[in-house]
Amino acid sequence: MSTLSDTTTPAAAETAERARRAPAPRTYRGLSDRALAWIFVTPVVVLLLAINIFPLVWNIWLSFTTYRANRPGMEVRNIGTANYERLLSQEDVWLSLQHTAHFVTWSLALQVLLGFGLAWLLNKNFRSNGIWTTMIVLPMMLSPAVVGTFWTYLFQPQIGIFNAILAPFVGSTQFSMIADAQLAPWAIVLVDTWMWTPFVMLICLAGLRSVPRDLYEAAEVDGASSWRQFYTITLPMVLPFLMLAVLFRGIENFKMFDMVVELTSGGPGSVTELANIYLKREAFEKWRTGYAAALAVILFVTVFGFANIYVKVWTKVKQR
Amino acid sequence: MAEVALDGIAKAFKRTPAVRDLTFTVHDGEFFVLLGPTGAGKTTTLRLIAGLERPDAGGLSIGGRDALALAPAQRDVAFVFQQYSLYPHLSVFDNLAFPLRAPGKGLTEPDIRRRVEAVAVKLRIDHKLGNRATQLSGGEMQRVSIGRALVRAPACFLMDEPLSSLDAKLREELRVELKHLQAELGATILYVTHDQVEAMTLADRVGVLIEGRLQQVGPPNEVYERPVNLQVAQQVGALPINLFPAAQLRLPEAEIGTVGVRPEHIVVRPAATATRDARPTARVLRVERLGPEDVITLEWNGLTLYAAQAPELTGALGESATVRVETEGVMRFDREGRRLPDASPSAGVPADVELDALGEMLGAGGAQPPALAAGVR
Repeated sequence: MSTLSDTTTPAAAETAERARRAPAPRTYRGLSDRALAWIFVTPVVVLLLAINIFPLVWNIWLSFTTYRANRPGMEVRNIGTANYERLLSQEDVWLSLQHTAHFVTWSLALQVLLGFGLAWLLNKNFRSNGIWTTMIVLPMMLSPAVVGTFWTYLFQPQIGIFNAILAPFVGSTQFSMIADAQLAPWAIVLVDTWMWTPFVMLICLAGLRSVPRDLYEAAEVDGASSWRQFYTITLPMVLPFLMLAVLFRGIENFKMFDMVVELTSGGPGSVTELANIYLKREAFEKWRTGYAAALAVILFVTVFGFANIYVKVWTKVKQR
Repeated sequence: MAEVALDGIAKAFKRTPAVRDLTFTVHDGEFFVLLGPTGAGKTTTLRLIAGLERPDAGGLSIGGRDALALAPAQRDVAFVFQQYSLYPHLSVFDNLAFPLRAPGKGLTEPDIRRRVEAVAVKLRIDHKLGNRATQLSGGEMQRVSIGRALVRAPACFLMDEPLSSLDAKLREELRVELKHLQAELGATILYVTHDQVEAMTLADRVGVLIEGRLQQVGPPNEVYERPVNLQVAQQVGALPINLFPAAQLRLPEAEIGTVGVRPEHIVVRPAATATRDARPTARVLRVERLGPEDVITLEWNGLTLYAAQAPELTGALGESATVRVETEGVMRFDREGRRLPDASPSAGVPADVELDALGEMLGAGGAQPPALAAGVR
């Protein structure tokens, strides 16, 4: 509240100068605008510090210690970077990161293709346009845990509708998307795509709708084929939107937890054990808090770094 | 360049007619301006010719070919849009080259470069060729947009209010350039606008379109001085035409419904110069001194009138003034708004008449050749 005291400060010259520049400083019950602004902003800043910044800093500190959350009385030793060294030499960690990479890459690729395709179709003017949009968007409204749970039933080999539908094409219902080590990584990609394609679609639709119609008309009069119209007009104009969708989905899927836990719990074996699932096991099942904190830092830095680079590129694309 | 002929073209959107029975021809090398208020169907007409809309009825030929069966790209017309419609992710060069790179053009890159550069020099945008289309000012964007049409050397240019989103000074500048360019290239241009001044200054011929109907076609001065009906008279002219309902002029129940006088045919004098003939009769509401001329707003018998005249005539205008009407500028319209033929000039008609006596003069004259004058003076 330094500005509060400014009005009573004995530094008369400065006060006079200020008064000259702003002849009538606006005040409310003796508080200047600046002081009021600070009063309004402070609670938010304090709250942010308490629930965002403090846990982050504390987590970073824990990652250099032997701290175990289930043994409060235990002596906590600072072991430097030992947690990080252990982590990076652990095969399980690298495997979980590989699973995450597989999941993120494929789910993004499919969602972008399908989402853009659906948006392209919905952007055509037809009568039942609105109903279709609503129906397609429904999966997105569900809770990820619910989605994970009911897809275990859909994937059920005996009674599941998924196998029943696929049976004519693969010749048998005797396979399990979530119990087969080959198929399970694809099962989680599939369910995530089912759930989140509508999100990518909505953003792409907003992009497509932002393209002025007269550009297509100009191109048509100028004799451009539909393909040329697509890559000289549509694609460059929708790209910033598409990239935004990819950013959101990328970050979300990098930290995927709930849906996959409900669907496969990381199994069979550990083929669908994503980095976040591994992290949760280390932190709250094995109670190696310091070790898990180190992994959390690594994941945070990774996603933060990627996101930053991506946003830089995105800003460039947007400004073209 | 080629001739564009419309024959009975009609188009409705969801039963709301946009243009009805449109028949006119834009001659080879002609600058034809379609003038009309917003919503008159001007843009629709252009879009129909370009092939962006299909007409419900009628025929269209471009350069002697039946164009209705052709796709927009095959009609060999270039469209200049009001909002420029440049491809935002392409450079100025690529925007200009865009139509030349269409399939079937069969131009080599050096050919394209030569043509683009020639047009860019002509439009004075050659120093901007490397810029992105979105980095240009409004005037430059519209130049590129016109350039994109020019490179094609099309049969006909269709221009949809190309200057309306520019500021006044730039609009003037580009207007002059456009006229020069057209004369130089001998281009056939169909130009759409709601702007009086553009229509008057650019056009070889003006077509006045109101509510989807073509009311009159002719050289600008003819449309201005001899409008076929009230609607055209009201549409054409930067200052609104003064209209006197017959009753206001105390005209007898006869064929005249309305009398129209353009502001430049109304002469306003200070009341001080009043003589027995010219009593001060109108209240002066406002005098706008525009430099070369004064625009005076008057109130006479409950009507608001406009007069435009040389400043030296206005003098020091007080609250009231005498108003005279130049008889050569008097237009008579019948009760349906159609213009009645001008009474044949005769020696007896005075050059001007006091406004209060206008009705008397017209009433005495009626439709008959005016032997009226003697009685009035």
